Amino acid sequence: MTHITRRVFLKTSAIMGGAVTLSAFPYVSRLALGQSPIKWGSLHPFTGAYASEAIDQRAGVEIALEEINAEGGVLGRKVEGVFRDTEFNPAATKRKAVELLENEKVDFIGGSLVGFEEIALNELACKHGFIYANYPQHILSFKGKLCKYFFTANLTPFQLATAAGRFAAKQGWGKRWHMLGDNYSWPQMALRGYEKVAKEMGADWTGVTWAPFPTQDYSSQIPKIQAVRPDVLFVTNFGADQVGFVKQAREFGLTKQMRISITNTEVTVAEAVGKGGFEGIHAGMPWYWEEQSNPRAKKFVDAFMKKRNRAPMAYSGTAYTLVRLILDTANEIKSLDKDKLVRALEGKKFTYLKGEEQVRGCDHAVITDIYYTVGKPASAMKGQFDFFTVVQKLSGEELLESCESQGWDPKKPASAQS
Amino acid sequence: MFLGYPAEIWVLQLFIGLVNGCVFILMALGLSIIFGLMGIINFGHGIFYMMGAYAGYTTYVTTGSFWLALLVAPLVCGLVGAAIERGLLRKIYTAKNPLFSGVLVTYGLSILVPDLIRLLYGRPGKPFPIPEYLKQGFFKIGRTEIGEYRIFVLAVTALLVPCLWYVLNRTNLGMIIRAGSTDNLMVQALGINVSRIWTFTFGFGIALAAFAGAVAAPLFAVVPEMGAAILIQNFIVVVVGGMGSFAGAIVGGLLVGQVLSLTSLVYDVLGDVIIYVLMAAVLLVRPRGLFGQEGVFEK
Repeated sequence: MTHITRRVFLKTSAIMGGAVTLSAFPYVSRLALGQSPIKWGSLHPFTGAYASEAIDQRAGVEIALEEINAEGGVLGRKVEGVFRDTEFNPAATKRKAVELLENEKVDFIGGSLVGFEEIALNELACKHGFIYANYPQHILSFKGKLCKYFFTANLTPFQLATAAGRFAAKQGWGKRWHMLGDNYSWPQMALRGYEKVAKEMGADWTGVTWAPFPTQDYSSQIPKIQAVRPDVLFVTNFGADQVGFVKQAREFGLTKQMRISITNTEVTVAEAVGKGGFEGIHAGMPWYWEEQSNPRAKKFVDAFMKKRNRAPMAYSGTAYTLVRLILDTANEIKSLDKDKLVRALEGKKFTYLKGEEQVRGCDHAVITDIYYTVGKPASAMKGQFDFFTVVQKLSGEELLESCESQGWDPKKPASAQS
Repeated sequence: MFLGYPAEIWVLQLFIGLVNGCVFILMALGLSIIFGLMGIINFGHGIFYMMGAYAGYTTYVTTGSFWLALLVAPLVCGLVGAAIERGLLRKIYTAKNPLFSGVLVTYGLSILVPDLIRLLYGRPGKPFPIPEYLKQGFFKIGRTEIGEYRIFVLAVTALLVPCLWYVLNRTNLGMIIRAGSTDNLMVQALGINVSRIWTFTFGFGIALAAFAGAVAAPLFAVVPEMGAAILIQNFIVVVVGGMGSFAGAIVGGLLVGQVLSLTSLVYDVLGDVIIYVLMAAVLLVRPRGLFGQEGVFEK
């Protein structure tokens, strides 16, 4: 008979008791067993024309990861963000993404702020089979074949253009419409939306004036636009380019001659133009920080203010939403399996910073609100970042390109289509 | 009508090209002076243009005076430039290949300094508006209002260029700078402290870039990246005009300004192609540039 001492009994009981307790709480047990964290690779253009927007976008991702970790992580594991600079260059974007996959062994990749980065990452997602969280607006119905692993919480330029066109028609701003755009894929896709909505609304579409991309000097384009004499000018550019345009539009008297409607703007752009610089100029946004009717939005804005000491951009909000959407879904289905996640995300309805949104199954576009704003005069601003007033929220699937027009079967989820 | 545009649009583009050419001239003069005297191809010239805009912005926000901003920006940046010449560039004059070392050091600066500015000022651009008293329309060409500020840029360049020419060609200081660029050993033998002249010249060239940045800031976005694009265009200006040539910087600046402005009426990115074609053509036919010193870039 084996003799069990008191010491052996106590040790064995402690070990067994600990094991039973830990197995009942998977989160604790995994952390205690030193399970490696889930890695969220995130690529942003920290250098280049959109650098200021990129750093705020990163902050949105960080807040989402901090919240998720505070709530217990994903499947009981901590989520770690691994950030890289895309250098505003598609080749560097691909190189860094591959480095994240091969060296850092990331589980997800989120990223980009500009179309060429998005196209590069979408291609890689198909090739390597990873979930790609696309933070900016997506243009894949226009350039490139959408990968089933591609998800976004942002708009498409087509959606924004359709919303802006409908708003202009509703306001009765005039029938002659024209577009100024930087000559690359994002504005090219917006053009497709403007041409379509102009036809729908019976407007006289006078074409487009292209500017080289990137550029901060529109002094050569503005006289060409004035020669066309449009009633409404839709402007599709972003970042430092948009700052240059708004300054020069005012300088050359364009704001007095026609309505200016910017397809998409951001708080950072208005800040660089200066107080009152956007006065009377209309602009679309995926979300605006002062709209805090949703309590979660208020929490996010407060966290962002604390982190960055400034108001969040819409792109911070959409990056936050997308990270939460994907990782919360992983928690819901209790799996990190990419194909299971794709199926769970297709058609999923969710509410984070805005009202209810939905991932459209057939092409992974998002049915969501578009915020239509107008710039405030300097005298009406109540705070440092109070640049805009939201004049309308436009929503609905009808603002999106139809799945049929993109060659998708509207009845099937994208993952079930070739 | 020509190529679908009325005469007034072409006149307007000529005027816009002229104003943009003025900014090129101010920057290219600094670049050209630095190369002419010191043989340094300053790849960091764009960052001093950007620093000028930021220094101008800071002065404008702090004091509310646009005129003070135009004064402080070149002064501060000129001093920074002089310090860089003393602390960094001086070490490469005796290197095996000073031209190559100069390119590397100044290129390194062009990567480092924008990040320092981002650390100091944050990433979003800074608002530097046109001052109220220069905001009104001055005249109209067709439907386009030409603002007082564009006239101001023209006037400032028109005043500054002859003053610079006078300093370089009619004063003792200018004579020493020019002599130093031809044979600095001989100048040294005459008892002149060439090293001090080099520091001054580098600082002076940088001050011109900073002045261009402060003058251009109200027209464009003030962002840390603003120096990168204009730097390439300025290299084209000095290569076309002639490295180290005063007249070359002026003619090259005006030429590139007009090419970019006029070709945009035909096709948006045509100007970016044509300026390289122009540079290649000049290099093939006359490698020293239109007004370049004989022997420079011809070996």
